[in-house]
Amino acid sequence: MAKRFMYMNTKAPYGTVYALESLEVVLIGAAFEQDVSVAFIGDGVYQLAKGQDTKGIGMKNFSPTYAALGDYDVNKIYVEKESLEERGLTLDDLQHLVWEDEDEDWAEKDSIRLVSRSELADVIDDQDVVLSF
Amino acid sequence: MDEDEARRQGKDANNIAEGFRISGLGQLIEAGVESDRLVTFGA
Amino acid sequence: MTTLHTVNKSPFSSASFDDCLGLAKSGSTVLLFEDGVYAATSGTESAEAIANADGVTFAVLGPDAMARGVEGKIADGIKVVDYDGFVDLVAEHDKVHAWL
Repeated sequence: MAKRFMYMNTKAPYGTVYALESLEVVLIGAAFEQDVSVAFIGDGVYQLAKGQDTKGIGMKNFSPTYAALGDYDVNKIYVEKESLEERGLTLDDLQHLVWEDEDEDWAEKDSIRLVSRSELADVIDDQDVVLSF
Repeated sequence: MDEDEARRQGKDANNIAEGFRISGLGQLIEAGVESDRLVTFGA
Repeated sequence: MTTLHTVNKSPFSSASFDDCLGLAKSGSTVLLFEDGVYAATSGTESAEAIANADGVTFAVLGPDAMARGVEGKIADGIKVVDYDGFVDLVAEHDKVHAWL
């Protein structure tokens, strides 16, 4: 029976390796056919900021990879509202992530679910395994 | 039966070959799928 | 489902402790270990936050507190456990959420 796996992101991209590693784990985990959710809280919300251009720092810009999550059946992406607000951000500052629902004629749907801290606590409570980076 | 699986998450970015890293991460997820409890340690 | 949260960073240098407290539900336990033990020391804002966290139980890993010379400074109401106690906590909760 598929377990509910949540991957939680708490750190900003590029300053440490956590964001990239976490994304790699999610993609590799997609092959295991479990029920996957991904959450972004704290500085983790910065990972989804649009317009990342890393040419000047000599690191690979891996932000386009988030757009591919939908193709890997990862379509429950939780972003914590309080973390965005604390950082002066809104959903508009983030990439627009979508997935295609094969049960509805491949209709394109939003993957990002904006939730409050307490709503997210309930979602996490329901998970079988949590991997936090 | 309770099976604790502790997993050390390597935080070094100097992983040598892609092949090794993928198998390490795959094992982490497998541990999550198969054990009753998963405990992870990292930096 | 009950959760054992583990925090291994000092509240003074990392947001992990705060992030954890924000999401820990009543009925869960937070184990402070490695540098996380500092959050349990009295006279700190974190100890105050711990005292105000209704329904959440706190524990600190004794050997890590002792290594850091703060075993005598653990705030009231926080239980000190050893490695066996750590394993017991894992077994007593449905899942472990390790904060890095």
